[in-house]
Amino acid sequence: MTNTVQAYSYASPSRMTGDRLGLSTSGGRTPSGPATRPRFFSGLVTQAAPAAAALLGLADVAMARYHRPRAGGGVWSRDPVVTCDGDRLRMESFSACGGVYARLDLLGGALDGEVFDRGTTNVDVNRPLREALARVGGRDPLHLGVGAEEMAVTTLDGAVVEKKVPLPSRWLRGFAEVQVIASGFDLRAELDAARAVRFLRGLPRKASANLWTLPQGRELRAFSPAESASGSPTAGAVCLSGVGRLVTLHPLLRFATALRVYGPPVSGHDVAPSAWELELPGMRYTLVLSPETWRGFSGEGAVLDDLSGDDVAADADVVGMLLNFEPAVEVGLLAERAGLSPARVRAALTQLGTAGRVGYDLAEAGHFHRELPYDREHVETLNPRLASARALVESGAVRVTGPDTAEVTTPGGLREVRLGDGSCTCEWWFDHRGSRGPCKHVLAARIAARVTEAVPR
Amino acid sequence: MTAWDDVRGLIDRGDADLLVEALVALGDGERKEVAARLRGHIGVLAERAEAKRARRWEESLRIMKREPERWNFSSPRFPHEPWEDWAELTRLAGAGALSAVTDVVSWVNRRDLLTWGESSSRGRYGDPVLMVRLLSRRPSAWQAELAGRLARRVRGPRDAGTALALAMLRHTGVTPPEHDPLVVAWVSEGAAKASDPLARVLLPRLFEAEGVGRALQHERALPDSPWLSGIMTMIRRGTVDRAMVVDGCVRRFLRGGDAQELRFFSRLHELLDPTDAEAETHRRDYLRMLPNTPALIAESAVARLRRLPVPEPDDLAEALESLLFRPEAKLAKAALSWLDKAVRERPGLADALVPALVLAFRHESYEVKSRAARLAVKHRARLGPDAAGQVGAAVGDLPSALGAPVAEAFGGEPPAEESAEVFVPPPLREPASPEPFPPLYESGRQMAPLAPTGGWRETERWLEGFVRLVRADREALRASLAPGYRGAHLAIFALEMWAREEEWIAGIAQELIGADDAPEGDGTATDAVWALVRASTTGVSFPGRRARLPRVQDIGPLHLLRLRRCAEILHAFREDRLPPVLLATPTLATGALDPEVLVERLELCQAAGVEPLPADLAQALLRLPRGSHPPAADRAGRLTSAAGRTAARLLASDGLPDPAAVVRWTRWHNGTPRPMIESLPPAPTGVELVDEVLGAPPTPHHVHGDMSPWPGVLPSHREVVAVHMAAPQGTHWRHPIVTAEHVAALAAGDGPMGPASALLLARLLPEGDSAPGVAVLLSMAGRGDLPVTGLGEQLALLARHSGAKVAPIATALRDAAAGGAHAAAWRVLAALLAALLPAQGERPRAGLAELTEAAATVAEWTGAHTPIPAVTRIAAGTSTAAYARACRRLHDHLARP
Repeated sequence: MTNTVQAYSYASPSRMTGDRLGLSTSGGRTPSGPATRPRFFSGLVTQAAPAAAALLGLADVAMARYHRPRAGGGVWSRDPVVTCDGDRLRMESFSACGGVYARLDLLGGALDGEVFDRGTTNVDVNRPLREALARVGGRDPLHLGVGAEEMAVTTLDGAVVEKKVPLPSRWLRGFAEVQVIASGFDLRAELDAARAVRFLRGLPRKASANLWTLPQGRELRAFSPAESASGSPTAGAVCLSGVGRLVTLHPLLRFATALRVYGPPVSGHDVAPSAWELELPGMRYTLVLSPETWRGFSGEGAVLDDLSGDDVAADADVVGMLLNFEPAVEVGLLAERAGLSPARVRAALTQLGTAGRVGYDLAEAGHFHRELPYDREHVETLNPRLASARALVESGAVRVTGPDTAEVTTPGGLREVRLGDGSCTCEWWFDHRGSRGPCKHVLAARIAARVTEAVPR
Repeated sequence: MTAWDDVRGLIDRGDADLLVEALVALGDGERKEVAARLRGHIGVLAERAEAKRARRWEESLRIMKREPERWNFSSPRFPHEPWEDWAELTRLAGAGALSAVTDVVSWVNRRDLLTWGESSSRGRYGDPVLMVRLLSRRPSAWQAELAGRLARRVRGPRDAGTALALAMLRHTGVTPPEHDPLVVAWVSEGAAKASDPLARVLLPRLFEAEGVGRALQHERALPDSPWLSGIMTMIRRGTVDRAMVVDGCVRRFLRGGDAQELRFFSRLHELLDPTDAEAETHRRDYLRMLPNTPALIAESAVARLRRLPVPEPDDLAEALESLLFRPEAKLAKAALSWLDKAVRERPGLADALVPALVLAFRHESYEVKSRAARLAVKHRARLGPDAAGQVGAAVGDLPSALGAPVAEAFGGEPPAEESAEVFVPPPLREPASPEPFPPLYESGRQMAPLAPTGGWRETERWLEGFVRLVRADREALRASLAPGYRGAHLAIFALEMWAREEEWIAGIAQELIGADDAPEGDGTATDAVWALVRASTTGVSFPGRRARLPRVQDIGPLHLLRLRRCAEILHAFREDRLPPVLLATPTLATGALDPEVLVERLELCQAAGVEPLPADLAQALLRLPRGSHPPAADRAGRLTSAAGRTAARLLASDGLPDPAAVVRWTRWHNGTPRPMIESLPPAPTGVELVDEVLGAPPTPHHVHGDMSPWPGVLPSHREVVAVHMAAPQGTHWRHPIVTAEHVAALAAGDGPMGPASALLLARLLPEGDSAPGVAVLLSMAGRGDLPVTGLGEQLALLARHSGAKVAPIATALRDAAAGGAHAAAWRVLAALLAALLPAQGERPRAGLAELTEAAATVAEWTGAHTPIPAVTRIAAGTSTAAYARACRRLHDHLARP
């Protein structure tokens, strides 16, 4: 596993002077190319208190390790990522444990100001800023600036902020893949404010508690895994593992107008990821939780099948060029412009998602363009399982033995693969049974099978 | 003699002071030489020291062996020897000899040197004084850089490098780098003294560094709290700025965190007790910390804010709204009295505060709602028309009793009287007649080797099939069983005791296939095992060696009877005196046996001239339905065999007697409460094995086996089974091994249900998932044999003695009532209330509100009108607690004609 270091370089620390909140930017990408300190927005936030509280929530998620929290520092906090697409600002952060993703969407209604450019960048969050954000009251005006010009006023001391944090590839990959995983979710429940408060306050206090939730009428009912053992979680149930990971929703509850819950279709007793979206005045705050506290989003393997196709990389290049920091990516439109089928565009979007180049908006059920401001090549070469699979194919270890079967020769012995249900005789498959996606042997066999099909026999 | 020889010699001699002197005196070239040689020397020193330590360990073992009594609780001590200090001295030598700062930093943090010192000389040289003395001869810039680098390497309070890092910072006077773990380590070192040069810089960081709150969370109130008292003393003496500390606490609260992280700062803040002037400067901060800080801190903030002049209307409204939105009733009540005070002082504020007041109508706490309703009526005159309209519109959020006066004052829609929903009880399921016992085996091919989870009915069928089929066609049965059993289950022959039926069945099968059927030998190891098996299973060696039956006190009489049956079949088979048929094979799935069928089987045995097996007969008699069976008794009276005469006698009697059981709650020696089950043996029946089952005292040590076959052993005497099931609960009360399935199987049988059965039933209800327990209640209520009084008593005892939670019990009983068992549930609830409602002056227990609410609802459903004295007493009292309100509701219903 490769680890790199992310070096942030800000012109000055983000700070709050009076009612002016200036967020410093470091490294990013705009339609015109890479930018060191891009400037995106300057203007009023019409709902100051919820915006400030949600920003604090984002910062909390960035600092948190929900799995095995470490007492007393030693935690690297990776700065939030801001995307401006012309009429809204999306701010994202990803927990240090790699299991919780948070996004604040400041929609057009919450912003009143000037957009200078579109693109994605990191913004600095620091201790004094957190204090200042906590002091923002509901009746205070809040002026928000994202980018350099804004800072010129306040950078009297001209102190450049340099931060270096390790960027483990599992963290980075999780940050990218969570988008692809979320794109498989459906809306399961929508609660009004009072019911949302009742539900969230009624959850067990124990942070590590795991639950299933099921909509009942206009309520959401939580039940324990023990109960679900007698009757498996029915269709429409949403898994909530690690109740404590929803903690950043609580300070926002007093502003909330609705809570929406998303989840993938559930099968059997398998735990599943889930998404929790608070509707706030003019903005949305979304948390996506991994299937279990100890499991990060990377390694879930949700995307590997889409990626193992050969054309996908080429398609992704085409589709990627057509993206232009739009607020919403229209699959139909892209298909038309790229001359590809919608299915291939979707596979390409998956590829772009794992490369950190598109995000997924659950409320709008659509992708949006954003380029994670990290070393691009590094992001794209993630997915070790796929890389291993390609290596297996290249080394000629795969032998397709039938329409549905293949054998893969590995140093650990011969693996027999069934392409249809994606099963394998390796230990990894034995352990996970598809719950974390296909194994490298299945992937390799599928790649090889496609090649043999393409070549007329 | 070179410098290196000198240094090496000093390390060997263990003389630290001379070593420091020697290191300081080294010239440049000599230092290089020492540094170069030292690294390679570590291995030599470590190996030597390890060897010496091993020898010392052996020596101490020898001493302890000579006088074991003397060294029972301690181990011999040895005088300190120079080699023990090799690691610390090597660490010193490297620090003195290496020249680059980075090299020294990594040298003094070498794990091999630090961990050795930890386990041997208890940090004698870990005391950084010597190291500092040595390093202080370096140039000051070099020292400063070293201090900074060492400080940045600190990972936390238990980091071995912490002591040196802090000592170097103190020695050089360098400003410590911004590094949170360093602050945590400094804090964990013990309270700062005013003389500590680090205090000036690090004390302000106490309020900023992550992890300090957790490190100090156990600081109690004065006087035995070094940090709290230390800071207060420094403030008193003027060495620390009080304003800085107040500001630090307030900013720490604003940055957020859970109660644990903020506990220390909260205590400090209370000790400081900021003056009104100080609070005034932080007014905005106190206002902003109201929505999200832990309750204690928010309470303190409210208290301070209330002492200040009334804030701006907007600020006050926001503060009140955020307090009234919080779930804590105490904070909401504080907010309401603040609101009251503010409106009285400045009536003009009233309109601005109406949104907050209306928010209180929706609060969870009845008390808060009721205060808010009273406030609304009280300040009615001060409200403008718009505000009054808002209050009127929100009346619907109040319960009807509270809403009526508000609606009257504001003209809003009076809340509808909560109409008692009409309860239509769902029909209870008719008790299904017991299913017949599964069909018996027709051929040996069906008798697969028993899986351990096959269930007791499978065992019965196997034994029955074996006895019948081995007599009909021994060869065919052997041919059928051989493939499954040959070479399998051989491990049982190594066991002293066969405590599981599967083992006995395997033994019986081996007896059949192994006794005269040697496998084809090919000289492999299997042959040797096989020979052993034959030796152990053939009659010659068996009876004399061991019977393999456990004792009754180990496994309880019910399980033992089942094993006895297996054992007697094995022995009878070996001695070729198997009866043609087993007597005890049930005719119903519950385990019950039709008396006519029993007599039929006895006749078969008599015709074959074989006396039935004794345990089989006892089991058959125990499975008879309750009461006397005259027709079967008459028919049995014509039998001449001993077994036939016994059966005839018991069939004509009133059935087997029931022992009486008593449940008493006692305590283990450590104070843990446990139920003690006692059973009084009934009059003997004259059949030895029957009396063993009915009369054996319950033992808490059923070490083997599964309880699920037990109800099938005694299908007509549920209480006897319950006594034995409940007995081991004394040891495993918190982790019961009696499950809902066990109790359901028990309940499906026949016979009286006494306190032991009620205890088992009661135990199911406080569980997290009470659905299976409720299902058992419903099925028993359907049959009409739910022991309601006993259940109420046992639930009360459970709640009183074992700390079982009351709220889940209330929910389970309410669920059972909603499922149609409302009449039975009401009687249980009434018994529980009478036992659990607090006496005069007693504290009410948690969950009473839920219990009383459930009782009130179920009473309405059942139309019960018998007053309960405890409820009447509490309803007449003045308490406004939730349980007392529910008591009033219940009392009103019960007293209604």
